Amino acid sequence: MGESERSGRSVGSFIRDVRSVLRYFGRLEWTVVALVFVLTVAQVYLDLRIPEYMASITETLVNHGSTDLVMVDAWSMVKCALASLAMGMCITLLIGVVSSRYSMRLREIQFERVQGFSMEEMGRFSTYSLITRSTNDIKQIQDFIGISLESLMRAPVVCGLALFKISCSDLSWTAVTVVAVGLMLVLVGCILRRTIPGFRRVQRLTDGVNRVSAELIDGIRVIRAYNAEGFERGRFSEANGELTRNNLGVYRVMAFNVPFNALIRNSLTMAIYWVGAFTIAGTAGYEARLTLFSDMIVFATYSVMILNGFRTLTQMFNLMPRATVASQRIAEVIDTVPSIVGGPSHGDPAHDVAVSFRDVSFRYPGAGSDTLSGITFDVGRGETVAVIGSTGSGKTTLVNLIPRFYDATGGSVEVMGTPIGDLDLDALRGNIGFVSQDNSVLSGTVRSNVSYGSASSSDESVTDALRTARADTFVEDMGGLDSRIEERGRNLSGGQKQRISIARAVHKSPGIFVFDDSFSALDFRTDRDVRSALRERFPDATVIVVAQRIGTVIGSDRIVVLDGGRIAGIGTHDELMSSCTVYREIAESQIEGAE
Amino acid sequence: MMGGSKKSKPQDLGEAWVNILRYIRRYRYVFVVAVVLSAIGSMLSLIGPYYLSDMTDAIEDGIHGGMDIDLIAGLTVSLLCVYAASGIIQFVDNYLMATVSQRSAQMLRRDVSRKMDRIPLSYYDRSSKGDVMSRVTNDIDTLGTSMNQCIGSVVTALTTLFGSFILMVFMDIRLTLICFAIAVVGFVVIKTVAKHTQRYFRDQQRNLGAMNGLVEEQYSGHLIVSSFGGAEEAMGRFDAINRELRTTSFRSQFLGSVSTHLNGLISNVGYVIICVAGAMLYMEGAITFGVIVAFMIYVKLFTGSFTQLSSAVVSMQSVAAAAERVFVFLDYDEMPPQGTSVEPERVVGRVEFRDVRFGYEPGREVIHGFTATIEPGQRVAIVGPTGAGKTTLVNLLMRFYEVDSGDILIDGVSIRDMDRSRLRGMFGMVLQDTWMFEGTLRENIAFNRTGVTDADLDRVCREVGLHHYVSALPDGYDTPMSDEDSLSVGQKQQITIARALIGEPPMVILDEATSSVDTLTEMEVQRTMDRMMEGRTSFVIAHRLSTILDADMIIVMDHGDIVETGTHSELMAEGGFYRDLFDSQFEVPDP
Repeated sequence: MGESERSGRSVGSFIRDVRSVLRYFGRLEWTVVALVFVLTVAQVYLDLRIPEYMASITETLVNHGSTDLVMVDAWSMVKCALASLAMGMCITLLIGVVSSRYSMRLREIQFERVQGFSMEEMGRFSTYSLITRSTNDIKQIQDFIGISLESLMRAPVVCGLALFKISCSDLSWTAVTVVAVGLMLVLVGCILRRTIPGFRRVQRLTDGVNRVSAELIDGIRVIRAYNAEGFERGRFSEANGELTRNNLGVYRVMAFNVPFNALIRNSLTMAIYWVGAFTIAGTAGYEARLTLFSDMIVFATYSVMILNGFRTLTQMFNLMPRATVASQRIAEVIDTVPSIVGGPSHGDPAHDVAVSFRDVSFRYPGAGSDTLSGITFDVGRGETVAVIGSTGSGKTTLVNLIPRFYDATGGSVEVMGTPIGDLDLDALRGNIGFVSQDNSVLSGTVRSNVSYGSASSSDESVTDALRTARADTFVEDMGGLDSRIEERGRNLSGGQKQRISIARAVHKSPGIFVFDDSFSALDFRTDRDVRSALRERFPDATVIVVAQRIGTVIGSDRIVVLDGGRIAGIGTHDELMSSCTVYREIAESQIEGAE
Repeated sequence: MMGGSKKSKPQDLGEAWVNILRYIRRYRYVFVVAVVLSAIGSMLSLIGPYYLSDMTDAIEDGIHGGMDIDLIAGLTVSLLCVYAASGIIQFVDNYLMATVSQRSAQMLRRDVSRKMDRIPLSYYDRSSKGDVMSRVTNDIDTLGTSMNQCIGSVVTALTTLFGSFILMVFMDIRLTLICFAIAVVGFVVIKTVAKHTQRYFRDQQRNLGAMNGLVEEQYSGHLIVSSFGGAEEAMGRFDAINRELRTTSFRSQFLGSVSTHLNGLISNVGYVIICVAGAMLYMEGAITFGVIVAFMIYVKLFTGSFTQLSSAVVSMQSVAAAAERVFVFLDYDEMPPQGTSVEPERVVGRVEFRDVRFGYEPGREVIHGFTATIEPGQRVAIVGPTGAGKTTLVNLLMRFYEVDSGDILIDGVSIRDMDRSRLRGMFGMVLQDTWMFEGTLRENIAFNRTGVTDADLDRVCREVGLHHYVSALPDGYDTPMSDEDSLSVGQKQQITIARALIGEPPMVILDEATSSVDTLTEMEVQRTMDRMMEGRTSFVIAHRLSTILDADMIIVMDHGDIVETGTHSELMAEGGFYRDLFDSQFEVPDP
């Protein structure tokens, strides 16, 4: 009672799981599935026909009939077998089409979705988790569909059709078969109950191993410098051990599946013979006995087919829980509505005030206190405004609000005279040349990096941008515009990466430039040269520059001094030197150091 | 593997399997037991049809006269015993195989992670991270899950094959030959198909690697992608790989299952042929009806074990394809051997560069004969425009890369003759990139050092100016840090400086260590660093000239070569390249 109830529940959750894996099936996929179902029924019908001819042959034999009669039946059997093969090939082909197309679509939907994520969503999922979700998880689903969809349909069809055929003949055989199928379901239920939680953990634990190995690769230089190989190995082996322990638990339970299925299957065959012996003994008349005898042999074959179906079904559960978890994780990504969605307005690039902050505050999700508060200032069109402050004063957070990487949690930000929430994201970001602090470059060529995201990648435009960013010389040394840039710019120095990033922003020719500490790795001369070349080339552009060096900010129209997330002063260098203590301290620290 | 070449020439899949088997040799006893059990188990299940044949004959006799229930009951009991024994043995066998395969996967993961520590940095500088990651996860995963079924089913299939053959011979030689002929024809067909599917499995694995690489890059470069509207371009590249992946995975999947279907056909045709041939023999009176029934089961088992073999071949292919990628990585040339482990008796810190030549790629030299001697306790500053090769010197000093020619000596001993970890242990290093791992703040600072007390942590945190930050953390030093955290680059830099300080090493390397810290913090940190450098030979790489003014020796570099050497005042007086560089700091830029 208890057992069957539990296995009943697991069948329910099983159906739910299958549905969740297939939730993005389109009309085409469902049509194919329906087609596969029809083909499966036909194939099973043919497969069940074959033993029936055998029954006919049996009767011929026991009656000492002619070889010709046997050949007629045999020929029909061969035709059935060939037809069954044709059906099977069609089924495989269709399923192959569906599973590869479906996983392609999933990858595409998910990738596109992630492209629309704001920094907040990226942070929430973490990059590594998103990578696993886009690759490994989808592979799980593809394998599941490719391998299991057919047996998922076939097992019930075989079971139903064969039971129907048996029940037409004799009820005691039917009863025996039903008992065996019941036992089988209980076995499947027990195995599932023990393995599903383990399979659910597999993905999380795999993520753990992934994360540690990613860290290992990222930090390889530091790890070696500190001789910390052993330490990192310890961390890895911990994650590795946890994953292995979990897998061992799961696969050891799975070890029950095949042998016990075989036990039930063989016992059933035997039971059919045993019952058959009694039924035949209890039946009068030679003809009736003979029919029962040939039925017995056919049904023994059927019973093997039924339980074989269940065996493959249970093996499929290897993939099932992983596929379910994978699909849930994929669904989490796809169902995440990006918190930052553009509005209808395109703004007014010629508006007098390029960027305006009104009493802006910001708090990171889950943080205990505001990172920014009470920020109010305007940046006029064509102005150069610098933001300076000590580490952790909120400078990066502040400029991240301008391209709407995050939304302010209080107050309002206006860009191009329009509240930032009303602006179309492409219009907003299209008009901003943002150079981030970590100045990431992408793998590809110098050209592909500089012309990134724009339509033109002509020699002139790219060379021009490189010249403005003072990157032309080293690019020439590298071998020109089409020189390779490796993943994460490994073949470039920090300063070279910054200049490539700056060139990328220049190439875009935006109305507003935002430089988030992106001159820090440049030597002072290059820093100055780049900024003056930039001003020369874009006299009307608005420039917002975050910096640590007084030399970088000294010539700005206005300097915003941040301290602990609040504005400590706004003004020119000279004004601030007399009015703002924080600024004066920063300035003195640098000049003192130079003496 | 030949001479460090990363390219793997398409290996024979058999070779990959030889590697796998050699690899799991430490489990050979368990393995042998599992194989023996699996053989016994499938033998037992073969005896079943033999009894069943007797039972059929007994029942058939019963049609004509009285049913011999006692005989049938006896046969039933024997059958039950055989089936139960076979079930239990197979279970134990599966259990052992699951253990062996999971343990092997664990071992492989461990070895790959160890290997990561041993191969030269140049490997990482050249290959994609996603690709290495894919080897650690996807490929080993495939190995672990498929190896289990593979080896198990190969053994079962083989025993079934031989066992049923022997039993069939006992019953009737003619029918046996027919069975055998059917199976051989089947096997040849499967073998031919499988041969053509190999490369699709390899293609699929390769495309998965490419997909990993792209996704990894796009997601980590998300900020640029979204601020420059690069999503469309990315979609284009993504689509191309995605489509190719779809094609290859369709092919490998479809062709993989074609063999299964062919087997189904062979099994069915075999069944028919046995029926017909059996019928004829029966009519001649050569065999009893029970023999036909037994053969109907044997022909299924016999061809079935071929099916099993062929599906094992399919998963052996994907296992081999994955194994190939893992073993190529494991076979990658390791760093040159450790030398004789000579060490200076006491590290005083005299460092000598003797005509060092080096290039990251053959034929593109970046250090053209560098010679310099640094006395113990001296502070060396390496300055120059970006790309002048400043980090390169440190790479060589720490033996991240090996010099092409020339030598570097510490206290008169060539670093080539030193143990790499001892060499690195002599230096405290703060790098330009602020790397942190997922763990607590305590773990990130203490790193691999044991016996670090709270007092030690307090001291270094105070020195680098982190104590305010620490006191604001909910769990103090035990607060978990993650790379995605809201730590600023500056704070991360402070943590990495603290990490270097806690070791109290005899020599110090600061590679643009303060480039991300603001000047106020830098002043604080600088004082600590001064103290850290006191009495230690130190190498400071910085673009910020103010941090290296009181260096004993300034090496000015440009294009990989040393342009000038001297103290600050000497170099300023010379009025050369250094002077130019220095002056640019305080020039007011054009408005």
